[in-house]
Formats: sequence, structure tokens, C-alpha cells
Amino acid sequence: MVTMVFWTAALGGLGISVVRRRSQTKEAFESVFRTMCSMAGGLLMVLALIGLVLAWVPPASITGVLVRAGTAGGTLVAALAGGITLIPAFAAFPLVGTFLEAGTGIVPASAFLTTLTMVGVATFPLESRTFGVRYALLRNALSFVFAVLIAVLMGVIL
Amino acid sequence: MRGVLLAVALFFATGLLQPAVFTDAVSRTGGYLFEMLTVMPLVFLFMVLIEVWVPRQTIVAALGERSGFRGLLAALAVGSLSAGPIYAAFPLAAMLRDKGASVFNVTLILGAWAVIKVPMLANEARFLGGAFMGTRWILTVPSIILLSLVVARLMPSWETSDDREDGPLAVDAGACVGCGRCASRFADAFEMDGAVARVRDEQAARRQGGEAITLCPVGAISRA
Repeated sequence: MVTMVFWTAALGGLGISVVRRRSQTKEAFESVFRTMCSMAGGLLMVLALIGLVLAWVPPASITGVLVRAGTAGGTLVAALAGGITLIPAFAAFPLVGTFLEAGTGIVPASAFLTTLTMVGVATFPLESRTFGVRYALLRNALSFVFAVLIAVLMGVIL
Repeated sequence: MRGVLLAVALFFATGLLQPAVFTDAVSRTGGYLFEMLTVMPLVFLFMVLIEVWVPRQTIVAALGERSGFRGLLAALAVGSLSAGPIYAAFPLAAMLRDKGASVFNVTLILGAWAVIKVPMLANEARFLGGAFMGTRWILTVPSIILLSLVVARLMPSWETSDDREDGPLAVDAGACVGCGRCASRFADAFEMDGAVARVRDEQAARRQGGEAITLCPVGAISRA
């Protein structure tokens, strides 16, 4: 639904651009296309490798570990797992739901979700190539810390 | 190229050792590709539209160093609209950075893109409960603002990111595709020589440093 709105806006905008500013649009198109292409290669490789890693160690398989490990250990495992995992958002929620139903505490379950979205070990190569190694390290490390903090607070509040 | 060979080799090995895992891996990767293909064209189009219609001054005013609280809101707005994976934001955020967006605002855009996911909130509530979703949201929004503040404090500007050496810049004519971005953005440092770019003024080029290197879409600019 929301995507439809975006697509309509984007295509509509493109139409106007082609009509009103044809040559500029053409140049912009080429320039953005080249940028995207230079990113695409590395990205595809990352997606392939992550698909492979998660096929060997599916996220759901850590459910048992999370339930047995208790809060501190479970949170650490969950946070690390979330950091390296790359799954679409709509798949993440049912997965975390599974963790909770299996008996994982709120804190480890939240830690998985927060690091999943905020930390990207899988996307780190691309991020450091785009923004610099220092920036990528800073952002991911801080995101990890904040993600765990949020998870702990969720355990306190909920 | 080496990475591609590695990936292929690993997949092949998996296929031999554990065919079931191989099938799962293929289907997962296929899913990621599908997700990528549904998000990236949209990001692409919006980047083109920004490139054509939004002048640099507007971006500097809205998202630059001095944009202040309005910049914060603008960054949150840009990031919150997405439902895609964070890597989809990289090219868009990098483009805004090149056009003058500050470290704080770019980091906030990335953070918002990653976690706010307005289109996904209903989904989250459905699977994890409204209380979970609401609490996570209320905790996460200030967190990403705080996080962006810390990153910006520790790394005040983009130019001080990696290339600390002051070596001379050079354009690799073989890699250059003649898009002209360097020459138009840093007209004092680069110029077009027919179909490729070249350094026009060593001093000016040295000053631009890291920004010019990351600006080039094909990486033709580097320290000589």
C-alpha cells in the first residue's frame, strides 16, 4: 500500500522530469546508475554469503540456546546473532515472535531485533567503502551498545 | 572478482556436502535478491529526482551543518519513510552527504531508515504486540538521535574520515567514465579533458581530499 504511493510519486516525478528537464534527467539517470552499479557487485556477494551462512545456521536454531542461556548470556548471543543476520523486516517479526513463544526472555528477544536492524556486520564492507572505515566502525559499534541498552530497558519496562 | 569466486566455491562445496542446506541457501539468497530488486529501483528513482530537482543549497540548508533542529526533523523524515534494508539507504545517504548533509544528519537518516520503519509498525504490532512495538519505538527514536550526536562529536566532518595523508590526488583515466561530477563540484581542482577528468590544480585537489575520492562513482580518483 505505502509502496504503491511511493512508486506513483516516483514515476510521476520522473515523468515530469523527463518532460520539463530532459537532458538533466538523462544525465542524472546515468550518474546515479553508475553509482548504483559500483555498489551492486559487492552487495550481491554479501547477500549470497549471508544466505549461505544463515542456511548453515538458521536464526531459528538459536531459539534453544536463547531459552537455556538465561538473560545475560542469552542477550549477548542474541545481540551478536542479530548483528550478523540480515533478514527482511517482515520475516524478522515472526522470528522474534517465535523466540518469545519458545520462552526466550524479553531482553534477549529485543536484543536480537534491535541489533538486527541497527547493526550490520554483513553490510559493513559496503558501508565502509561508502562512508569510510572509521565511520562504519563508529556507527556499528555505537549501534550495538545502544541496541543492547534498549533491549535491557525493554526488559525493565515490559 | 576474487569474492565472487569464493562465494561460488562455497556454494558449490555446500551443494556437495549438504544439498538441503544448499537449497535453503539458494532460496534465502533469492529472497534477498527479490527484496533488493523491489527496493533499489525506488531508491534509484528518488536519487534521480533529487539530483534533477533539489539544488545543493537546499540540501545544505535542510541537512547541512547549520540545519539544526529542522535538519534533525528532515533527517528523521527521510529515514522513516523506508521499509527497506539499511543498505538501500547507503547510496541515497552518500549522495546527500556529497551534496552537503552533515555527519549528524546522515547518521540519523541511516538510523531512522534502519529502525523506524513506519510502514512496518503495524506488522510489528501484529506479531509482537502493541506494547512491544510501542516501547521499542519510544526507546529507539531518542537513541538514534543520541547515537548520531555521539558519532558527529567523534567525527566532526566527512573529510577527516580516512585519508589523513596529504598525498597528491590523481585521476585514473582508464577508470574514469567522464560523468563530470568532480569537475563540476570541484571546478578549481578538476577539469574535463575531452571525455575524461584530470587534476587541474594540485593544491585545490589536495584540499578537497576525501570528498573528491568518495564523490567519484567509479573510484577513479585516489591518492597517487
